[in-house]
Amino acid sequence: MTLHNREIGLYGENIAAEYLKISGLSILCRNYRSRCGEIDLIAKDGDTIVFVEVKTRRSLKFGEATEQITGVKQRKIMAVANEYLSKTGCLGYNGRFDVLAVRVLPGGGIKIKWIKSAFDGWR
Amino acid sequence: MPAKIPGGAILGIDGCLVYVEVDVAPGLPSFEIVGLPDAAIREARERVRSALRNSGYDFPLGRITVNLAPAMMRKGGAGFDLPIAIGILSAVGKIDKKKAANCVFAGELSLDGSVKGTSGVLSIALATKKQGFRQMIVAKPNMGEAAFIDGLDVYGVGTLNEALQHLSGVKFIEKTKQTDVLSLSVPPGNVDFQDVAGQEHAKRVLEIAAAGGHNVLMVGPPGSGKTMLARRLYTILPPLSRDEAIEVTKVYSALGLLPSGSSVISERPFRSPHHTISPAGLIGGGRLPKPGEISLAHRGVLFLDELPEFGSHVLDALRQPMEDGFVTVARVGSVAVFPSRFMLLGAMNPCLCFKRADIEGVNFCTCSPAAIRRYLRRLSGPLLDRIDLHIEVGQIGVYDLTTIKAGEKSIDIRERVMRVRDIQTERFLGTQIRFNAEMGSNEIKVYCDLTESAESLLYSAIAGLGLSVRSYIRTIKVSRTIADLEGSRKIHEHHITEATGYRMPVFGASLPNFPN
Repeated sequence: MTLHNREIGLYGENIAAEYLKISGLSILCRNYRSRCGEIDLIAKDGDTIVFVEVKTRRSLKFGEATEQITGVKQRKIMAVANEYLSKTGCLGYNGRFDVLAVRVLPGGGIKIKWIKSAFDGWR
Repeated sequence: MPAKIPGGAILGIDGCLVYVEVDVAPGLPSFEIVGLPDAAIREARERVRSALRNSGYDFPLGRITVNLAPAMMRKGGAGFDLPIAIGILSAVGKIDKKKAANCVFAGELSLDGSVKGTSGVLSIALATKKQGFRQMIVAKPNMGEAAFIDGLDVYGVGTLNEALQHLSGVKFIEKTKQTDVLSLSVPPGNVDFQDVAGQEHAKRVLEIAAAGGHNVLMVGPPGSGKTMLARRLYTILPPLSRDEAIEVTKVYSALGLLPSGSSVISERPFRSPHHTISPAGLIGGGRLPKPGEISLAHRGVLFLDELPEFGSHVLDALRQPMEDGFVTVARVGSVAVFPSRFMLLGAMNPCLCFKRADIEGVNFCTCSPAAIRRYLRRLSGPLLDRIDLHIEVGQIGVYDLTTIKAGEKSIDIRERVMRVRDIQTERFLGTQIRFNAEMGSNEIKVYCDLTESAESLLYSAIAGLGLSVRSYIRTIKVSRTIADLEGSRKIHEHHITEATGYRMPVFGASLPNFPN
């Protein structure tokens, strides 16, 4: 079974969304796009708006998924998050940036790692 | 509602209260520190975040803004970690804002939440008291230092959690007891004037110097015991008074030089910088001025070995602080005033070949008079003028070393010195002056009563030696101390004779034009 990278990504995002729902978060938006970039999942955790970057991997050959989120990517996500908050009028809410690493194991099983507050807006 | 927690910064060596204002506003997570922080304070963000997390608290989400007020003052040091952490917790309601706002905090945080000591706590404690605060929470290593100030309740904490438990009333910390460090200040036992064989003349001069706070220049060939004598000078100096100890400790504390385990400097400092020292190293300097060696020697001894080897601009920079007792270091960023009431003790060789003063007459000097003059000219006249006592430390033979009986003990000499200091304390009661050496020309008129014959002797000595007005004043001051040592109210002829003897250039008749 060979899947294209995009399909793997989509598969991972679906799993991530389900996982967050089970964990008690409500999904506000999927694949929010703007001029500056894209955010995979935007969810609401109580009073906090959570911006989630989902990374899906089939093997660790190319490193842990969380390593892939570089400083450039972080800044991109933050810019999009800022835009989202101002567009939707949610500026009074706290924001948080999480990373969900989804690993598809060879046998078909799935391993999920949820890193809350993975990064923030400090310079 | 933002939290407002008092903390402290150091300006030069003086403390200044700084309010740490913390606001946590909703929004994307960010953490900014404003109010002219230096790099160490900006890095507090990482330490505070880890320390809070590792102490069992969630680091709050949202936009955290920390302001250090007054905003226009440059601040440095890691002592703001603790107030910032407390401020964040009280801004999110984890601790009572009012309780935390009544207490001054100073301490550096470790990533695991433990609180480490920081520099300048004594000065911050002084500022705390001046601003009317009564409580301070500091790191355990700093608590003795802060408790040295009367009228402050000081609590030493080992971890951030201990501070929080104390503030919330879960577990109170006991108030730090004031330790009376000064009572155990006996001269250190490992060196003693008894160890120096012979050199009674030099010992006498050092005794006069110690008694009246005079500056000394020792001239002698290598191996004659100059350094040995110098290292023993502080054993005959009286112990630091409480106020003096605070002054001295302020300097050491601001530089983070307090020896670990001791909260206060209780012995007179003895500083002997190498002759390659720069003017800024000696006087103090830096963009945010830091005290130099003269301030580290405040209320103690500044020993300059191989005096002519020091750069002439370095030595001449000493002139003003020696006269004033303080030095103002001005830089573009800020201006600081540092104390500099030290006793200057210089030592030098008589010439470059080092053989000149051999008592047996062998190994006689091979330097030409011109070479010697060139060597001695490295010391400027105005500097020599400020040194009250010039002495020649002669070579002693190996034979003498084995036969001369042991000299007087430091403790006995110190007793005489302290008696003279008591006379001076009584004499200068109600004035700023502490020693004879600090008298000005007005005080000389009041306190230095010369007999008629002493006066006429002094005038003829001045004319004969070509002394300057400053030399004249200094001669009187030295003779005042000599008279005090004798317990005499009036200054007699023989006091003047001895004092002028120490003012004469010791370099001998071969140098009639020695600058003086």
